[in-house]
Amino acid sequence: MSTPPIEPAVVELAGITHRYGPTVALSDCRLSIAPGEVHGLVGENGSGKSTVVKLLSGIMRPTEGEVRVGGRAVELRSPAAAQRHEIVTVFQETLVSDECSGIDNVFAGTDGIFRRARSGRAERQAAEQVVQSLGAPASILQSSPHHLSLAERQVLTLTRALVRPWRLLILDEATSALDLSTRDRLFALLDDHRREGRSVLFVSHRMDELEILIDRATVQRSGRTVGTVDKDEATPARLLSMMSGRSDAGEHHVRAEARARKASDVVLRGVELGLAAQAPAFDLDVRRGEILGIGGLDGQGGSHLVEVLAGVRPSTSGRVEVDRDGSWTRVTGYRQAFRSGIAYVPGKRQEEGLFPSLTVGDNLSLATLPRYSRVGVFRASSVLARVREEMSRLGVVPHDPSYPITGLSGGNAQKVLVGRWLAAEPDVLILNDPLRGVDLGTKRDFYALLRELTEAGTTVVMLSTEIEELLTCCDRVAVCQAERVFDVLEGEELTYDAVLAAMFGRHVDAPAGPTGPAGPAPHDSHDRKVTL
Amino acid sequence: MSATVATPLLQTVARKVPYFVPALVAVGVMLLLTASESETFLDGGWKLVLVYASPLVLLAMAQAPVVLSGGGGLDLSVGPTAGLVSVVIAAVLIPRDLSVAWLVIVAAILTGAAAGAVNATLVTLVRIPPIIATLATYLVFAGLATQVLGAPTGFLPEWMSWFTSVDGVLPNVLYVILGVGLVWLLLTRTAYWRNLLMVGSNDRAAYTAGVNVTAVRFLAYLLTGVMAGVAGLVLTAVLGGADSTVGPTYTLQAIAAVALGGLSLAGGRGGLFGAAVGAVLLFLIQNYLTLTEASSFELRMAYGVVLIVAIVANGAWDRKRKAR
Amino acid sequence: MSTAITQGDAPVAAASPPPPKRRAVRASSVLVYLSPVAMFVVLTLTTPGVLSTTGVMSLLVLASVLGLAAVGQTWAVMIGGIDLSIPATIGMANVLVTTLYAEGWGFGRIVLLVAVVSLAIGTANGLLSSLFGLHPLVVTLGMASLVTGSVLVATDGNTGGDVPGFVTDAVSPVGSLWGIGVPAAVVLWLLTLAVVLAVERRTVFGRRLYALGSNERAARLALVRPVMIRVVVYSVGALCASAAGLLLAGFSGGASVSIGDPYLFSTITAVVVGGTSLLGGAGTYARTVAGVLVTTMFTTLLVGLEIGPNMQQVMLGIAILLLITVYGRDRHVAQRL
Ligand SMILES: Nc1ncnc2c1ncn2[C@@H]1O[C@H](COP(=O)(O)OP(=O)(O)OP(=O)(O)O)[C@@H](O)[C@H]1O
Ligand SMILES: [Mg+2]
Repeated sequence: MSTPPIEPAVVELAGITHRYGPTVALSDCRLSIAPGEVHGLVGENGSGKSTVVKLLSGIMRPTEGEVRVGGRAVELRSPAAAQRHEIVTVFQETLVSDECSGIDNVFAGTDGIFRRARSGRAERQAAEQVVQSLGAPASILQSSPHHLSLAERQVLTLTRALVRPWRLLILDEATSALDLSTRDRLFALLDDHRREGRSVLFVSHRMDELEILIDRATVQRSGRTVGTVDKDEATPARLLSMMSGRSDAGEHHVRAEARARKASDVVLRGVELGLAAQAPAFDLDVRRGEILGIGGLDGQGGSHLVEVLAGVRPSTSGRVEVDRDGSWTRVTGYRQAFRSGIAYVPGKRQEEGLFPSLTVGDNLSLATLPRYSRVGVFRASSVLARVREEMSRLGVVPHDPSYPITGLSGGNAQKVLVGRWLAAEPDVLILNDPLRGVDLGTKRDFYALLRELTEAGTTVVMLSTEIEELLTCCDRVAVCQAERVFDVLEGEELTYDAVLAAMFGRHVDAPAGPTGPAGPAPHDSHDRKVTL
Repeated sequence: MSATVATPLLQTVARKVPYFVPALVAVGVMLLLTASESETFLDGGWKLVLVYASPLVLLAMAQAPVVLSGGGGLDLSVGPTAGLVSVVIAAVLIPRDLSVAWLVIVAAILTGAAAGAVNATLVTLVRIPPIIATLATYLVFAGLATQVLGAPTGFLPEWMSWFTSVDGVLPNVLYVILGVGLVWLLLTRTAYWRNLLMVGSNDRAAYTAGVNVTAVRFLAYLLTGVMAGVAGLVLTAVLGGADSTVGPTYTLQAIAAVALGGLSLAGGRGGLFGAAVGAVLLFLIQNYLTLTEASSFELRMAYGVVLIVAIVANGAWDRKRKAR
Repeated sequence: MSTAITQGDAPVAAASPPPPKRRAVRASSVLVYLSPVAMFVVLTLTTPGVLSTTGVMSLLVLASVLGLAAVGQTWAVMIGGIDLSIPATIGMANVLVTTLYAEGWGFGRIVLLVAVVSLAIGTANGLLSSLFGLHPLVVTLGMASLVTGSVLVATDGNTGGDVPGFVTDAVSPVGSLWGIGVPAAVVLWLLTLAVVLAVERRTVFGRRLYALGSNERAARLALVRPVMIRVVVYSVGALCASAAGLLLAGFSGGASVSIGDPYLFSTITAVVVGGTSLLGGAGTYARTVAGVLVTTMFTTLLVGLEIGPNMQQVMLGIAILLLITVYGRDRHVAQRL
């Protein structure tokens, strides 16, 4: 498939098998990363990508096989050991301590137990330089990360990796939470490093990112390495068919026919909503049976909006109302919202979604148990039947309700979380970025599922950070900017450029300058690099 | 998740000042109250109060490193460790006429270090959850101490009365406390401090960043043991003899003191100073209640109420500190 | 169990592929439930007289007091907390029962009063530990002082008292309820056991209790009411502890506010020996029952071997360490990634 590079590989995995107890996560895995290349690692959820990452970062040692660094077999006994080999990693999960300042988060682990590796000043300079080159404010280094958004936390973890000496940088879906401008800056930065001979192992589900960035890509399927392909061969269609083993895998790009819903048939509405203290109020209608996408850059109010609609967060002004048999009921909290037929799938899977000590079945059934209960006692058999039904509808692998949730890959865990609320059969399903970190195959199934739900009369509101996703599955898209809905796009207007422009507070027909108040500074042309 | 309705001013203040401020304010109030109740307090009486408070203060300080180290970090055995030191002095050293100052001090520190090393091994290497490991060592240390010593003894070397002397400008125990504080202060100037807070607040983040989590925690338990050893020495002096049953009674108080001092029992927030302030507060409350001639019953009741109120105040303060 | 939606340690319908750690979990839970049996064998071999109806019953009576006291500890631990107010609650019940009975109160009225006070303690514990995320360890510690102090003030430190004859009978090894040859204390414990296990496994409340212990924020969003769960958990715990305090009155016949003190560590020990993780979100009272039986028999064994109280303590400590090393070790940080 690809010609082996002439120089010795920076890092090589040879004949790796890895088991978690009896689960085989990797078998006969091969991977070789050349100096000065960005190497993509792709595969469906649970195909073993994160496991590869953990083996290379010293979190675990392989059950069988060899890890070679610079041609020599090594034992990476800890992340510290991997760092001594100049391998640095940004993990799929944003690992940040809330009690330590940003700068401490960045530099912890570079010192000895007592000995400081650099002075406070040197640390500040090095960190500020990286943070600024990613386009984030240096202030995120000073305070503790309590108040930082997911994207800003992600910037911290990236900084943590980039300030260390490195030859191999591993990014395990580290771009999934970044907003577009930060991501593009990161890519530019990686380009510079690549020219200096450093390598990157890039794990992502996003084909657009892979296309821009990678030199070669290795494809995993159910723990096996399918093969490595060069850039020119690595078209989305090719990668997808390698990942799934099917030849029709590229089809998800076809956008579903948007359906016009009656503008008058509103099921949920925000009236004079204010999302933040100074932000202007706006109205928003959600029409019955539609899929309404919520877009926008991270921190521009999209996440606040879905939380407000779901009753999880109070709005600073205005009100949210839901149609209950013809009369408007005000949404005052998420419990009451749930009783009114609104279900909310939270965004931060680990913190707000999963119960790590419970089984898949318990995780899935928790919110709907009362429906299968009399005087507080549930009928186990009905619950189990429902759980199985939901699991097969979503294609959760493994199909075993008694499996511990911690044994599921990221994407499968996300499916369980969505299943928890689908099981409630809500009138309105509100999803906060449900498909972050989910592979394309699953996404396609998921879009189809949402379609199905809406055919059956359910209304869906879905936040997504990916424009492509919004275009693929939504009937209308509300773009948030500066803590308000800047524009609602539908029909002909709903194009990639229009959404992107709205994210930055501009309308496509008036690209000259920002029309909205106090948005983020308009970004220069390289925003446009990410077009399909 | 919910909008915080609070005066912005208070929030700004709260965010800027350290975690132990509520405890410090409460100490101030208690000092005023105590001074108004007892005429001799300002006139040197405070020195004696400090002497009696010192074992608790040292034990609370001892508790701090393990609490900071997170992962449910806690050392229930600090009290019995202090008791063990008494026993070593009274039942091992003195009967053999080994009562020179330096020897006793070294023995106390070593005893503490040994106890700390046992806990450290159990918690970090064997990986027994801290509450369980130190509950077990509590039982072992306390049982051994009583087994070895039997009845309390009152015979101590002359020089040990130095600890309880209040003749100087400052009571001598204060130097001991300050000494421990100084060592700690030096330690916080090293990378260990950041390592400890990072491990304490998020050990997974610390580990992936390359911190040697095991070593950092091991050291925390060791430090706790050493400080408990020093506390044992002072406790022996304050009691004027060895009594194996007294040490253990300090364990829960030391934990309460740490919480009062604003340390998070979940780890990663606080410091040794807060622990000491918390202990002083706890002791002053007890002392004041005794001064007001409340019955011991009322004292116990009031103590519970004050403890709860203080903890709630601390929690509210921390919430303010973190409010957006 | 016919259901597969259960905690990790209950037997589950086999399905492919086998989940990770399942074997390890099974091994440890088998060990937990076998250990009382093994302990009993050792005990009968070393201590004459245990293998008789009276011998077994006296063991069970001791176990039932500890078992009742440990209900609250188990559930508190399962929601990620701990309850240090159990000894104070035991003391409260003990003193109220004996002094009020001596003053001529009817038994029913006393029980009602004790129940109300217990509920108040539990509610306060639950509410306070929900406030600002306060650590239950400190909250319950303060509550313990408050309860003990209040009881002392209310009774003026009176330690006299009297108990109804049937309470004494309830804890007598030769006592018998409804002529089935089992002391009432044991029957009470078994009934409690049945109810507690049913609640854990079969009720919405039980599932939510596990969820709360596992991840509070996620539990909230999944419509669990943490405050309500905590209040119920600590209240049930206080009620059961009061029952233990009542039974203890049957042993001594007099009042003592500190009669519950040994139960601070022994309840924690029972929970821990049963293998319920202190991290919350897992475990079951069934495990605690095994822990209760093992520790009770262990103490009896040491007493039988004429080992003094100090060395008993030492041995218990060592036994805890050995058991937990076998089945209760924490995972390494790397395994939690
Ligand atoms: N700690 C664990 N215990 C047991 N099984 C695990 C564990 N971690 C992962 N697995 C299993 O190993 C397989 C590979 O998981 P991995 O996390 O490497 O997938 P991935 O390719 O990163 O998926 P995703 O795209 O969803 O992140 C999956 O089947 C998963 O269920
Ligand atoms: Mg992954």
